[in-house]
Amino acid sequence: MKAFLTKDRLWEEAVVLEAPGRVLRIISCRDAVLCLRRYWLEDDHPTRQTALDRCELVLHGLEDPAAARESFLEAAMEAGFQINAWP
Amino acid sequence: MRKARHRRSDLSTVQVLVPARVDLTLAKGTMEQIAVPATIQGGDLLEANTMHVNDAMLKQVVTITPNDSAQSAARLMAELDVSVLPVESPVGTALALVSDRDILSSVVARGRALTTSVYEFMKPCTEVCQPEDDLEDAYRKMDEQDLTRLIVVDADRHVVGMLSRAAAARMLRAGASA
Repeated sequence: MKAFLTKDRLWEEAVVLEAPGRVLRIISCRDAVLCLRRYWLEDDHPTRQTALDRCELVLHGLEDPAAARESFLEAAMEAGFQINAWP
Repeated sequence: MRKARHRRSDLSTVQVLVPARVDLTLAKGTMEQIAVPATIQGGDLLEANTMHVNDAMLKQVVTITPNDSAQSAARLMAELDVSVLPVESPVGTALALVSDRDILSSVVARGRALTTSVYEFMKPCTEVCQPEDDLEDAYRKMDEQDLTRLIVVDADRHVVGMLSRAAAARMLRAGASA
């Protein structure tokens, strides 16, 4: 059991990412971690690792969810997803 | 005579040691009462043998909220390799259970979007149990109501574990054969 998965922090608004044949809806830091780890388009952009680190920090209570969401959006843009998000 | 509590595992030790400790000049009562400690004779032994929900429940449980989507619930199930997740309200009280089967039958098969929120298809849990409940009672409750799992909650109805019917049955069988 991955202990950090027992915690989660919701974002104020969901983020919907689209790629050909795929739609991902993410509304929390825990789900963002899972998407960044396993369901991402590109693995080699440094923004992905930054977003992952910040989301994991949130789950350890060391970062603000809103800041992690911002990093997540940057990583999604870098990876080539079409982003549907509201601030 | 010092009164001590004994567990099932102490029985073999007690049978050997107790007679040697008995001081017949000071002891009162029948030989049976003197030789066998009171706790071994009656109710306390039954209490020691009673299995509780706490003995069989899964203690580290990952929960989701009603606002999570079917998709995020499925991702979490895949990550944890589980087929059921308890749903907690934002204040942490147990609300429902969601299974992979619910996602298939209530979302995928009906053509609903995978972004459908969990609250739209979750099954509210009418029955819960507490860690100190009798395991046999909890098993009976699941059996009678054809439930495969019960959410285990504390006094504030916060989720503290999950009890599966299979795990309860295994533990009860092991207890009966011991």
